[in-house]
Amino acid sequence: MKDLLKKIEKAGLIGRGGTGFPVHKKWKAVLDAPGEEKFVICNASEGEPGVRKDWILLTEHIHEVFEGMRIACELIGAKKCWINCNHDYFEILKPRLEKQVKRLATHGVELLLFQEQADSYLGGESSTMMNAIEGKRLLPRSKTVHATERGLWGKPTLINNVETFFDVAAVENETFDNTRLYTILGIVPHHGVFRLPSDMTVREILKQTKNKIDPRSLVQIGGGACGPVWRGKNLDQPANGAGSLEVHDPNITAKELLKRWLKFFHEQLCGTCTPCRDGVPQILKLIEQKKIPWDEILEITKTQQETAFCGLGRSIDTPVRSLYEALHQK
Amino acid sequence: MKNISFSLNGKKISAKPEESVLHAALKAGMKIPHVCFGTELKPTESCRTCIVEDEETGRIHTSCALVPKEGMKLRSDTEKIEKARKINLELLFAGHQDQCHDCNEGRWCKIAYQCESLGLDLKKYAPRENKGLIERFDGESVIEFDPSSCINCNKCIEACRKCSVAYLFEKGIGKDVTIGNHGGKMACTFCGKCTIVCPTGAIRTHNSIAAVEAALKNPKKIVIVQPAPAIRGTLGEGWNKEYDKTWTGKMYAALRCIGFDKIFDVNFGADITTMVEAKELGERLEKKENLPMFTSCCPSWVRYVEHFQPQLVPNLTSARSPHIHSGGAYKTWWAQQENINPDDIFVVSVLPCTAKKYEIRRKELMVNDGKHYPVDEALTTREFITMLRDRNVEWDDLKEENPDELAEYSGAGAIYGSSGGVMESALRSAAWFLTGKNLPKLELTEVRGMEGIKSAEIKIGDRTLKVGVVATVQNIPQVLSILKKDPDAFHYIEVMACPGGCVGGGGQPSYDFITQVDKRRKNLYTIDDHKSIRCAHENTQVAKYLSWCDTQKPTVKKSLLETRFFDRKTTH
Repeated sequence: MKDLLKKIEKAGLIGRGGTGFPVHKKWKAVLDAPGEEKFVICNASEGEPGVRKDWILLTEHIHEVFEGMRIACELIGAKKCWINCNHDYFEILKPRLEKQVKRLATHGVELLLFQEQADSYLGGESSTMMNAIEGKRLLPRSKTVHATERGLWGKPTLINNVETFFDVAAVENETFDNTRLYTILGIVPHHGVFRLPSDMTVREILKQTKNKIDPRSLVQIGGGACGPVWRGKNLDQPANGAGSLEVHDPNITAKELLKRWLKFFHEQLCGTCTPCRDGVPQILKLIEQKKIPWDEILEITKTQQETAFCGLGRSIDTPVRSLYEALHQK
Repeated sequence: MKNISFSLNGKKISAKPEESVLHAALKAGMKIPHVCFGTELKPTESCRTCIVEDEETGRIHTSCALVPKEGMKLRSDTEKIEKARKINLELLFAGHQDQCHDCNEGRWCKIAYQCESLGLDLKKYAPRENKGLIERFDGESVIEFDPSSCINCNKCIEACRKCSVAYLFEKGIGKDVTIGNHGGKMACTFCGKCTIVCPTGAIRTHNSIAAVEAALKNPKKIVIVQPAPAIRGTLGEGWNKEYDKTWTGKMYAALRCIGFDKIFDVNFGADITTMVEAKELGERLEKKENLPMFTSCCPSWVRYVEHFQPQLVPNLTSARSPHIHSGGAYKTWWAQQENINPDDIFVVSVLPCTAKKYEIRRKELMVNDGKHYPVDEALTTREFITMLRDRNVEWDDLKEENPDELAEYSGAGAIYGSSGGVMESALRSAAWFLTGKNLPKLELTEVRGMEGIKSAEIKIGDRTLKVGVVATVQNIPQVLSILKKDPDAFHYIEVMACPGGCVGGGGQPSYDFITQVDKRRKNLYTIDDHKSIRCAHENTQVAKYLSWCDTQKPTVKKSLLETRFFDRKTTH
């Protein structure tokens, strides 16, 4: 089994949840964490607007996903694992998930199914997800404690995205070909989920999927809420984050985009910390001014990025700043 | 485990294992601005203003939750940190200055201070959204919550859970999050811990300043003020002073500055309470009735009994609380002596307590055939400090003064403000009642201190009295389980709702460390040590008053010295 970590490292596997953390490092941290009881969670929250790759994997490759889970449990010595499932997917997937419960039981692993609350973006944030599974309020936990050391019920916990577990199974079967899934959506002729090399540039991905776009269009990378928007020469870099490309209407105004994002964050924020809870409504007010007061807005989003309690607040700066840069690039 | 050494802004600090950076820094006398942190509370990490930067990694941490690693180099003063902190503070307090008029700290709050020292602009952002109407806890004019000032730091929830009955909870989620209360389902004990920890005055005591100012302006009213025992051990903190023996005299001088007509003293009332309570203790011990006897001078504790443990109602001493005893004496005995119509007397108590604002409105305490409440208004220490600041009173300028004619007290009365003080006072006099002699050693050091539960066995004559002293109602279940196993475990139990007793009361100034409360507590014992009379039964004015009471009809005497309690659990 120790070989597996080396294999994962060699394959250069990075987490597909959006933050891009090297998989072998996280697995090793849980493996090395002291404690008899350890847990594994597969995060199938898929809360980024429009992203559908987890859905595809759970409908077409469910066996491989749970093979990855089984391998993880075996490696770290976990007897219990969870799948945190997107509210809308859950009922449809339930019969198939229950089959996996039976299958993993034969390997001595108890798989528990957890249906996330409806429309909960924050529910996919790993520490909030753990609170939800424990039956607590949907609030993020302090970032001074890592889940790999003290996660679910204070035990070392390995949390990975659906696609990460799928990739691990591929590495184990030696079928991993360094590809990943991209959800393409927005104003494009061919939307859907595509499997392409993980280091492919955005321009190339659009070309390969025969999606010709208006050069004025902004492409939002890695999530319809918290990803950056790119156009022009920026499109010549690989698409990072959660693996999605949303092509915006070329005629959409900056104000409309900002409003769409900030309203989304306003609906989804948890209310714990100042920069997010109080910063978001202030930005919504600032947007209403005749001329967008960019300096004031970016000052708040920078503070959010530097000081917010959880990933939600910290990520608001990315789309907002990238929009500002796209508008002001030469 | 070894202490951890780290540096903050280049200064070396040593932290205990698991101690946070902010806690260790405050202890070392360094300041990092913070809003939602309390040394006694679990960090909620919500305000994001106590941030520090790791010099090596450039990462920003909240110092309230960060446990330092050996050799860590942190800075709280980099440009990046100062800018982010300023924005977070400006977001938190956007429009806050519009709320001063409702707040009993007036313009003297920490926010105003921070605005000045950090150069905050509270008009930079639009005022925060108003999330609803002001709500009075349990419908009483004691503690109220103004959601528009609330910054969701949840300190009140933590404090309530730690000290009282978990009356408060976090209500709603996301943009609608606010503080909810269980009013209607359970009772608030009015201990006021939430009002001390609230950094914005969103949870605050009912403001009694206006009513007191109105009485002072009314030429018909003779306004009597009486300060509680704890006040003289605390007041100088309003000007960041260290205690010395001039504080009692300065307190009277400060009361004089407000313009009260008469300055009397709750300590006089405390000696009355001791006499009534010690006598009752002796009687109950003789008859072996309703033991253990519990003290009842803490109205928050009484409210807890009535609402949560009504089976203990018969065990509460029927003695009134000190300021109610003395307030009653002014409106009857003193009024008669001075030939004053009690209608014209307005009694103001200055107290470390929030629950007393509730107690003064209890109908069964009325005197003169139910015509007068013994006390008309109850000011907290904080409200009193605000009134003094509004009059530009400077502590250092105050010259010691004496009170007016009705303010004699013993050392026993002085220590009422400390946990264990009521017990000690009562035993000094109970011994005298039971044996006709004073105890060989008046200081009962076993029942002094900051512990939540203390116990001792005291020899009085040929009997051994088993006594318990409890601070905060959180410790009551433990005491009850001891009593369940052994009903004779205690003869007499003192309970105070606040840590350290009244000196740690809900109306007191806020503090960084609980050691501040311990200091206030010790100040009171210093007063006792220097008093020529140490026991309530040596107080000549109290003796005169009690013999006057003896000349009254039994029902009248009862209405002056005793009170009743009720089972209120069934009402909700």
